[in-house]
Amino acid sequence: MDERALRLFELALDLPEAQRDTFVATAAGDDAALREDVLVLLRAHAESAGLLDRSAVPASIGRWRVLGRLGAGGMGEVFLVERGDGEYAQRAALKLTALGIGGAMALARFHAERSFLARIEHPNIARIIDGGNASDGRPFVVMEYVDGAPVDEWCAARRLGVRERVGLYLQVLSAVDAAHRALVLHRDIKPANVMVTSDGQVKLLDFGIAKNLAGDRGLTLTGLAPLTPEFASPEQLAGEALTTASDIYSLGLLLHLLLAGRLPFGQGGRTTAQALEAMRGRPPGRPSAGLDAGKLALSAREARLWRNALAGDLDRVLLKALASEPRRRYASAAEFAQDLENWLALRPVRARRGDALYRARMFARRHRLAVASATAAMLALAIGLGVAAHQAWQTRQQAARAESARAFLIELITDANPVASGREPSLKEALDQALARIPRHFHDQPESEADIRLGIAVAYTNLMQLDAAEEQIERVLSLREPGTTGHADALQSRALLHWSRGRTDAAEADYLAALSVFASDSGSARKVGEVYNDLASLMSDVGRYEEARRFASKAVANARGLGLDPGALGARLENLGSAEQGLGRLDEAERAYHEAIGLLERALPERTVALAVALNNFALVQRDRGRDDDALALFRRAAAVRERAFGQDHAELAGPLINIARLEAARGEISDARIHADRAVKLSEAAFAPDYVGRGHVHLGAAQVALASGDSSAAVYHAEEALAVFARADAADPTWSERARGLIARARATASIGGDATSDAGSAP
Amino acid sequence: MSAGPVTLLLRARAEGDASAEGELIALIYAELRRIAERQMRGERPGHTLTPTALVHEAWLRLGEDAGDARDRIQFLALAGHRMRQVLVDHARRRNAGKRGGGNDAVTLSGIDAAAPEPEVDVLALDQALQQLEAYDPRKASVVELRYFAGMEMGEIAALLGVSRATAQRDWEVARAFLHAQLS
Repeated sequence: MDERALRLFELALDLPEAQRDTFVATAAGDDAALREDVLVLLRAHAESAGLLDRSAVPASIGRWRVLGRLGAGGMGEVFLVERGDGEYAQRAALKLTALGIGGAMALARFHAERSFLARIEHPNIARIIDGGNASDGRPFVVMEYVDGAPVDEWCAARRLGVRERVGLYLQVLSAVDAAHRALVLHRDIKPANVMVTSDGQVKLLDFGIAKNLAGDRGLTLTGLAPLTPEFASPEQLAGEALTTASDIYSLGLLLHLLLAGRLPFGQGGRTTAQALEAMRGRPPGRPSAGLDAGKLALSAREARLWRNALAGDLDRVLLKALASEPRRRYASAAEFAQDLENWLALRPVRARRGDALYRARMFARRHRLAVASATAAMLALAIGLGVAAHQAWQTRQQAARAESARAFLIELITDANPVASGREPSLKEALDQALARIPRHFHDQPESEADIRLGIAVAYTNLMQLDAAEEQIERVLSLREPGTTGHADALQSRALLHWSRGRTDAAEADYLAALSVFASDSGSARKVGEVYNDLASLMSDVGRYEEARRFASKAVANARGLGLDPGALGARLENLGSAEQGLGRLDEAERAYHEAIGLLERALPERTVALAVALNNFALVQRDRGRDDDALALFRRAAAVRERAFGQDHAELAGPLINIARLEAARGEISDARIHADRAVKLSEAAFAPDYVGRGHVHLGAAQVALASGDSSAAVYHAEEALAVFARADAADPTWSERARGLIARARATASIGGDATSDAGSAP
Repeated sequence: MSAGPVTLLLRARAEGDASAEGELIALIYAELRRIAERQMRGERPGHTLTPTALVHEAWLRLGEDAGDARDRIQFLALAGHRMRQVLVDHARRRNAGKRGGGNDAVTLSGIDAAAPEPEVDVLALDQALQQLEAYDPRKASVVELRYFAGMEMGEIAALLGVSRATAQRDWEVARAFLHAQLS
């Protein structure tokens, strides 16, 4: 073969294929060797299409026939393939390592992915089907072909709402959790790697830069710059050691994109340095505030509803996942998922819960116990002991027990007489004294001792003296025989104690244990109903409204069946109403509250607290339905009931008063609104601790009322007071402070426009 | 933009500094050999080298990731040429070491459309390329730039001062020639 053959071959190539042979025959003339050489070259041309060419699409790789190229990136190419021998019917995706930059590193990563995928099976992680080496030695892996769209596009195309997006995201979290449990980090979580099939199944792809936490030798990729800076965690961008918390952060970013339509720190082809700069030292803002309505294709009205759905708990969930300090994020993808499930089920999210103290306060608030003064607390003790006495009284042969308990109670109250001691003793002191007397009074009456200790334990629980209460309950449990109704009584009390501490699982277990004892005792039908009622209340508390409704229905049926007094039936109906309200079944809630209120009014004064709660909750139902007039009337009745029970100066009135004031302000009844708001503020300042969030809420309400009345300086004052309270409180929700700041801004804007409009309204009573 | 040592040498060479060229080639060659040897040691016998990957890695290892695009092309052209040399040296040494023994010649191959997929013997390829150089040096350059340096066709056309279609045609002709010579 010589140069002439090459020239002729090149000329022949310019001709249409059909004319080439004739051309070569003519041009070569009678030089048969030359003609043969050119024809060899023409044949070689047809055969050499892929030779030395790394960009060509191969016809087959291993036993796989290549149908086309799906994509190519820094790490490799992905081909759509099918099995040539028909052994595997479906199409698959074949990933071949890149030849570009950093071949050695690419190989290491590739092997990591292959070994990881080989040992994990999860419905939301694309399955590995085959693996091997191409003829040039490049390793390949064949994976389940995911015919779908990236998760963000998928959600947009179907115009999914917030709940649907959150629901879909649970699949993503499940996949990442499985990877983490297999000790593998994904490290490149982004929309393109989270595909959704047409039937809504999420498939997590591309463990190409996954890292084995167990520490595969030779794969120390710490400090490797991430492939996708805008979806990387701060520590990943900084090149620091990575943990599962880094994936949690990326998961937070992706969910932020899905729920707010944008990333918290902006988006776009940023470099690592730019991304790091963007997030350094700056926590993300609230996702609900940064909603990109355009990206989500929402109308103004839809955007408002969407923002409301995010505001609060979803904001908190996202901000917890996106905490800049890794240890403040969710500890696992499973925990992240649990909180989203909480949100979906209308339960409080973990991100909101602070410590046990916060929960204990929530408990105290929910149960509206009259603990502010020793007088009211004494009432609580009397009720506790009264129950013990009553129970004892029921069994005639134990009349002596009841008698001694009652005598003890009388002595206790006499000694606690303010006149005798010169000052009003705290109930805590009274209870401590009572305990000291137990040995003298009851040294040979273990049954009575147990009764009294249980009564004291209940009173301690009401006072939130939980350690002291627990000590007494444990003693009662040791004094009574397991399996007896007396023991079950103590379990029921211990359940309340656990509940007060936020240990709702333990509370549930104790209630169920007590229930099984009572249910098998023919004389305890009433107790069965009581425990059903307690369980209903507990289930509502933890957001398990469906179960709450079931238990409450049983409790109501029990009360009706036994012909219990109106107060007991009313209280149980009130719990049924709460459960229905939690389920969003407002008609059913209204029916239950309506009946409950009628019954509880007939049971005054004993059922005062229950009536006030029922009126208040019913008012909230009406407000949710936009029936402001009905809501206002109910709030007023709730306030009146509390006022009758606790007196005009009781802190329990602050909440209803501020609710009344807000509604009045909304209706334009400004002077009434201001009177009620001012009373609420005075009561809360007198009774609530400076770091109690309830006090902040009262100020917040007062600021709203002041703003509505045009008094911007009072509005600023109250909003700033609210801010100060929230700043002191240990578990204040950041959105509350946001609301206060928003009010300040609006008040200042009003002041700068309205000039002296504030002067006459400013002289508040 | 801070220029790395390679960029500085490339610019000195462009300005007519003859000593820069020698220094540059020595630098690139040494780096390519280091990478290639490390890979050969770490790989299974017969495992394929990927020249393009090595060249790009050399560029990065020489700290030139921030360089000018024109500098990078100059570098690739030089490195592609040297890469061929490195691989041929390797193949010779390995064959010498294996004298009388095994048959695992160092091979290079693309993934071919046809089956069975042909593998390219480095030494045979080098010989065929030398022949092509004698007939048509530009076509041999295209092979060096495309195969050993992993350059894009557009870059090759710009470097050689021809149209993209011409570069592509050169590539096809060269490939057919090499295929005919090697089979």
